[in-house]
Amino acid sequence: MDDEISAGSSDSAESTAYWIEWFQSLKGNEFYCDIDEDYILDRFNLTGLNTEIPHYALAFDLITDALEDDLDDNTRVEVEKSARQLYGMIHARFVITARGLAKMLDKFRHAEFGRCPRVLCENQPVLPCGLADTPGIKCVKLYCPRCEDVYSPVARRHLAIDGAHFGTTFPHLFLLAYPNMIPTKSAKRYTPKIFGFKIHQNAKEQRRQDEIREATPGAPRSNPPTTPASVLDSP
Amino acid sequence: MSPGGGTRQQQQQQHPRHQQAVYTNGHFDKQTDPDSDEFDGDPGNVPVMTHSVADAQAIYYGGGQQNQHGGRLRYDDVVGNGLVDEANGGDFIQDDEDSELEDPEDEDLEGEEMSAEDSYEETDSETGSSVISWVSWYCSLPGHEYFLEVPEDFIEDDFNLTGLSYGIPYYNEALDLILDIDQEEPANPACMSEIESSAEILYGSIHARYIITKPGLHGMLQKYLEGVFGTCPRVYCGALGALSLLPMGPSDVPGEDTIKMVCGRCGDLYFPKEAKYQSIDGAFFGTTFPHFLWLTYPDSLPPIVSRSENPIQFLRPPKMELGRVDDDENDDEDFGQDKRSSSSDEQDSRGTDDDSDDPLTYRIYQPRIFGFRVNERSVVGPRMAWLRWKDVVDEDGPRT
Repeated sequence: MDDEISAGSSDSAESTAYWIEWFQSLKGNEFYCDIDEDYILDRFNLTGLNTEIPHYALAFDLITDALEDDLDDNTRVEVEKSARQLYGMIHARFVITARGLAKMLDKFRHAEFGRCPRVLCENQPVLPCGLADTPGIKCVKLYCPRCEDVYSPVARRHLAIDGAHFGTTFPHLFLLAYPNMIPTKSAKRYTPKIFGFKIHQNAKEQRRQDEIREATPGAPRSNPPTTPASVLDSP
Repeated sequence: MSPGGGTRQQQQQQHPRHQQAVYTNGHFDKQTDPDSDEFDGDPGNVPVMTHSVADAQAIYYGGGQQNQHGGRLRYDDVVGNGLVDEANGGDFIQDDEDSELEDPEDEDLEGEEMSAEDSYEETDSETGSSVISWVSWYCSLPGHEYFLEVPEDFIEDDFNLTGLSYGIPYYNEALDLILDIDQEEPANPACMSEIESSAEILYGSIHARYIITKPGLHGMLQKYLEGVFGTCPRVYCGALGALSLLPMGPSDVPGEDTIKMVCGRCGDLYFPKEAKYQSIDGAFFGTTFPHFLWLTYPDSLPPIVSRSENPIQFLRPPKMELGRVDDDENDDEDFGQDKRSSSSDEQDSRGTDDDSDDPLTYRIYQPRIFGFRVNERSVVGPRMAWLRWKDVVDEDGPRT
């Protein structure tokens, strides 16, 4: 159906392939998974998006490769921008469906979203995550399932991706759907030392952290070899 | 390239006297044009450090100037002033600046050094025909931006090198190389690469000792404030470019582990962001340095302030008093009570993402599914929030 329209060769680069394929191949867009054509074409899935995105109809046509080439340059640029935003917003909805989660699982397994910068997480693969569901507020962040914290992406090109294109829900729903992907959490922690001695302020803080950990249901328990000193050294 | 010839930039990359070593040492293989290589993927707010020869000299003499109190690593200076108990940090800064800026003897000292080193360290920035010292050259290599230039006086003092001669092959040759002392008979070219790598280890070990002296801490503080070490990758620490990262090594023994970055706010260890720093030996900075700097200059770390929001709000375990707890949404038992309705409005207004940009506000990430907090008993529920728990400081002072 729509596919055949853009299959014809044209001068401009984006018309030579499907728009979605072209968009995916852009540098920095590795985090996105390709949304099923059926999902985009089902208008039910796009409910409400037409009010949020300017040039909605044109942008939708561009994504589905149904756009006729009769736009002047200015409009074209705007529509292109809207198309990215629209694709991102559909993406945020798609990745929390069963199909989307499965596609993201594949990417997660290959650590395509990067790895946790925290040393004690031992290169745990991370998941993309937004801090807001409204577009244009924050760029995408990386959620580490091991330390349960969010980090900024390392590569500069990823700083341009809107966090709302993944949403606040995705990483947690992902782990709910695939509980075997939840890594074992560890009570290991970095203890700052000066000439081998612990620092009073930090030691106090860490004892309090231990208390909280003991009181948290399901939190990792410290095993003797990891933090013996913090227990024994208390005054 | 003959010594003294060529452009300044070439000299920065390859010290003329040790050109061969540069080629043989795999460590420098990936170096390219320093202009394009430096701070490739950094956020824009990190200033680019480019050492020209003149800069390097200026830093060098600056170091020499401070060196009159720090010429010797005085352990009583370091340990005996109660720093480990985090006392009198403020006095420390005062001391340092006073003596550095106002002491008239400093100028004499500088003058002496200038004349003594004129013979081989003459700077001629117009023609670029100058020979820079090994230390300046080493610290100006791409990927070595974290290193401070250790003044020659400090290296020349044997007391500061106590114990370093064990385990470092070609110790004397390496020391001569660092100090730019010419050998009578040139070393066997086959040994040259080994001497070069020994010199690196030796310089790193001296560096680890130097940066916990007064002038060393001061020099590192300058680097820290310039943003050389970058910001914490954790979203709620590095917001707005708040500086809280310092380099450290998990071990004090060379060759055991690479450099790590420690964040003074969340107190955790991270890998350096850029690949060029990931191969630096951690022992060149040591386990002590970052905490020592923060204790010496307490103002260098943004305080952990909660403002109106308490980061431990959802962490409060039963029967535990953790300071003033504004419980709004955390207690299921409170659900029907009246006080909730008033406080939850507050929570909504301040729980927006805008205030997470405030570098002083310490926050802990709260997982949410469709806007609802994930229960602690859930499979994916928060298990690790204790890790980020911090003593919260009000504007009035620390809470207990």
